Amino acid sequence: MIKNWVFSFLIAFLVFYAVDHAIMSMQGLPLNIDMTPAQ
Amino acid sequence: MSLVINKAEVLHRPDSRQQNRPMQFCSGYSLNGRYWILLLGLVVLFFTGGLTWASDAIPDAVDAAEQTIAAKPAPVLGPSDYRQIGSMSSRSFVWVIAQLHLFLAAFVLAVPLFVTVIEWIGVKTGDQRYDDMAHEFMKVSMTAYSLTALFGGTLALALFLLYPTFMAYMMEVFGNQVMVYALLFFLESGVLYIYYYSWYALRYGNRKYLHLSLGVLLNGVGTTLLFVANSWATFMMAPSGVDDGGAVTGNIWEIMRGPLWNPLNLHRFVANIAFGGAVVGAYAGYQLLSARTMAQRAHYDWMGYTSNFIAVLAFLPLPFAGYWLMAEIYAYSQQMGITAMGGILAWLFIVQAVLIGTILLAANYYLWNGMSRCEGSRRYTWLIKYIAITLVGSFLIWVTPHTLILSAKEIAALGGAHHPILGPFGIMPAKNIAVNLMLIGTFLSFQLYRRADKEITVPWAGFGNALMVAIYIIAIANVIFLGVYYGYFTNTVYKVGSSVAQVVSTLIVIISGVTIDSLMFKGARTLPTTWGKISNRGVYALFALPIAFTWLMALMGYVRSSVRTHWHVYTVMKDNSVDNFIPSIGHAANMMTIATISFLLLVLFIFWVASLGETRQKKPIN
Amino acid sequence: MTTQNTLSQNTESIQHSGLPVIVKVLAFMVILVLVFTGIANLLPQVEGQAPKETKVDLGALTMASYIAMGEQLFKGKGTCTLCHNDLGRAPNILALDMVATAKKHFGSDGYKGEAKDSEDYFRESMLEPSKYIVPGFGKQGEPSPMPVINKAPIALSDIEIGAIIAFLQAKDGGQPTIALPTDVPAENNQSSASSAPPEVAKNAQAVLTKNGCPACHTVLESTATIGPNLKAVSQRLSREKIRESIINPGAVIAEGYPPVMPTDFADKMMVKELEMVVDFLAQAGQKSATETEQKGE
Repeated sequence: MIKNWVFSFLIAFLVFYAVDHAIMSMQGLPLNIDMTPAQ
Repeated sequence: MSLVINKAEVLHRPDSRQQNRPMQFCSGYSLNGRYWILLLGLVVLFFTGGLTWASDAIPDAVDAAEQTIAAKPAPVLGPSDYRQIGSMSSRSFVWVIAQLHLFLAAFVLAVPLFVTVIEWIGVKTGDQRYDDMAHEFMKVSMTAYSLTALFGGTLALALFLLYPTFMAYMMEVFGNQVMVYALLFFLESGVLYIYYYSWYALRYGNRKYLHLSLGVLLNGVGTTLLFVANSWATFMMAPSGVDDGGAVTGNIWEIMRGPLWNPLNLHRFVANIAFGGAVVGAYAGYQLLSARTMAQRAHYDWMGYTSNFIAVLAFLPLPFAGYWLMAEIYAYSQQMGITAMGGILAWLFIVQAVLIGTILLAANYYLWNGMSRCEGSRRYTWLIKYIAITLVGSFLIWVTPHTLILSAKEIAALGGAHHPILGPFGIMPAKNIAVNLMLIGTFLSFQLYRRADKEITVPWAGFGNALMVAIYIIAIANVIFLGVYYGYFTNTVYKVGSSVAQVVSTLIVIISGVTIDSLMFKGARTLPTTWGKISNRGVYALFALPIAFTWLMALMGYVRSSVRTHWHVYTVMKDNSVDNFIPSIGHAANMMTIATISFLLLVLFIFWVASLGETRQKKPIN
Repeated sequence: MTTQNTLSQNTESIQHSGLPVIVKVLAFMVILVLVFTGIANLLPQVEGQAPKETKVDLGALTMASYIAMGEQLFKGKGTCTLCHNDLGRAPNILALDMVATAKKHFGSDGYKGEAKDSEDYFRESMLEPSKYIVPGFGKQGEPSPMPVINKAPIALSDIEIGAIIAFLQAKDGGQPTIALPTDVPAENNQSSASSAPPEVAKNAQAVLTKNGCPACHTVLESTATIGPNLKAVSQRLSREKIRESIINPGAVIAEGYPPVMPTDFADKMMVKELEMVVDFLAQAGQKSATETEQKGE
């Protein structure tokens, strides 16, 4: 039960983290690891 | 794959409405069902091939013609270039006629789109009720088609009468393309009439696929008509293929393919579907409330649910299409973009927020009320209040303006033009958060409704549900984080760019929701649904939806025209008429209301005519 | 979206009471529309007026009124405040000391334009905004989102752009370095030449002088010998021949003289002036002959 939840949240977090970086850098707005603007 | 006489179909045609001499192809053979793919392919090929050929041929023809005629710049208009009908404002007259034409056109373009889909669902599921419903929708829209043409013709004549010099310039720019538009109507009418009247002649088996192909062709022509007409509007906003003075320098494709053409194409295509679904939903809702038997009520409840499903499904991606349109406007001219959203038209988008809030609240309200059809919904009803709180809270944020119109005393008391606490809610980042949360909330209502009548049996249900919940929670957190951090703590470009990431987050929720659910529903147990078991209160949502859609459409038309400020064709041809000012939003609202109520009456007429066709007077006894 | 077993054949009838459904539904829809209309009418009502063409009286223009004109344009027709405000889209011009800011920018290392002073910098920013984008604004690698100010749709004239420059220079207490616009001489001449009726010369002597006759002919005070002596021309030529010699010099060229007399007097001279000269030359010969006799030359 707990495993399901832990995995789910981990997957969701990683997916959205990756999507954020991808979308922002695609627009010429790169981010640092901590999500702060790299410019 | 072979050409065979499908004996089973020939012998077992249950529908007595079939003629005794059925339509036959070459010497009694009928096409095997799998050839419909070929037919469909030919239809698609015809259109893409035709368009590609046209894209080469038309420019050559245009270039040849233009070698003999030197391109003229746009004329400078003076008072003699404008006419009036009596003392009536030309702008007001054209406004109402054009708006009604657009309402009707949106309807007649939308209906065949979802009718074809519903017809296809009927074929796939084998459930004849889908086919009957599709046919009923088509019947209802036939009168609308001729009304659309009437208003289109009136609009064209009004434009030539009242703005002759402007129209002369537009004809100069678009040339033969307007004739292509006119000729396409021959094709549209032909296919429409055949599609509708052959419904029962091409009802089963192989012929059904032919009928479906006709539906696809009808939609192809209709969409082409939409795209051609869109080019006129987008040319006026962002002219392309002409030089600074307005003289034509490019071929017709360069003129049509301006920066705003495809965003408007996508936006109108999708919005038409939402609008059409809402209008037929009102039809269904009315029929439900006036139903005389429970069976009738059940039938129209189902129809209303389907219409609402179509309307809301098409509505969900609309903010993204609208966002793309707005982004292209900004890219074309920052000034035009800011005039729309930060300048004189800014309050208009607050009104838009009210309307979209109404649409989302109505759609959700309908879904929640609809849950009473199924006992299985009780598991989820506890979530409704949280969705409602999110919707209302987001709506309030979205509606909050940034710049308040205040008197000098009020400004002094407030310490500025912006409210210290509520002011931050007035700018885009807050509104982006609000709108994305509203869309996520609406999709959740959708998803809960779909799950309400199912008992999921797949073994990995636990993980699937956990994943779905995690996606929702992380997406919501992401939307809020993106909006707050980049919106308020970084510079403008990051702020604007973060809204794309927010939109993508919402899309991920929608796509993963649909995907995970369809996988999880495999082999699910279905629980009984009692169609017709919905409160009458809930059905009123089906009336709120088309009113909000219609008025919203008119509002967006007001934006589209006003964003050109004092130009007929932006930067190329100035508007020197007596109406060359942007009307106040109150005046615009009154015009929009005239158009909306007129449309309401027209729709009543359309539905009444449809039912009149079914009415049979009882023959007198003697 | 299941429909199994429930779209029943239930023919149980439904009783309707109260107002007809159509009335209730229509009333609901109309009231909803009126709510939307009401909200829109309660909002602040603003009309977007088109900019009006105004004539600038350059003769009456002072630097103070020029600066005021610039401020009006900045907040009005120029539509500058759409972006140049405190929302971060473009530099907040009204809040910054613009002369100092300009100096900082065109003096910086990253500056790629050609301005050497604030006037040039402001003009360059308006006419070629992509030459230099202030760091922190715009998108990397893309042209400036600022429009070109002397092109449509803003299309400010040179005078208007100058007014804005004056405003930008003066608003923080500095002295504008830009010159006030003045009447352009060429334009003035052209207008006066085409609008005012041409003036007839006062007498034959004025016509002769105006057309440069003394440059080649012995006439009035001149003793030039490029062309024939005009003081005694009446003894050689009749009135008609004198007239012909002026308007069509190539018809008959006096023996021994070069064919260099201008052929455009017919275009330049007015009829009155021509007759004055012909009269004068027709009589002058007789007079000068008499004078010559009297002076004993």
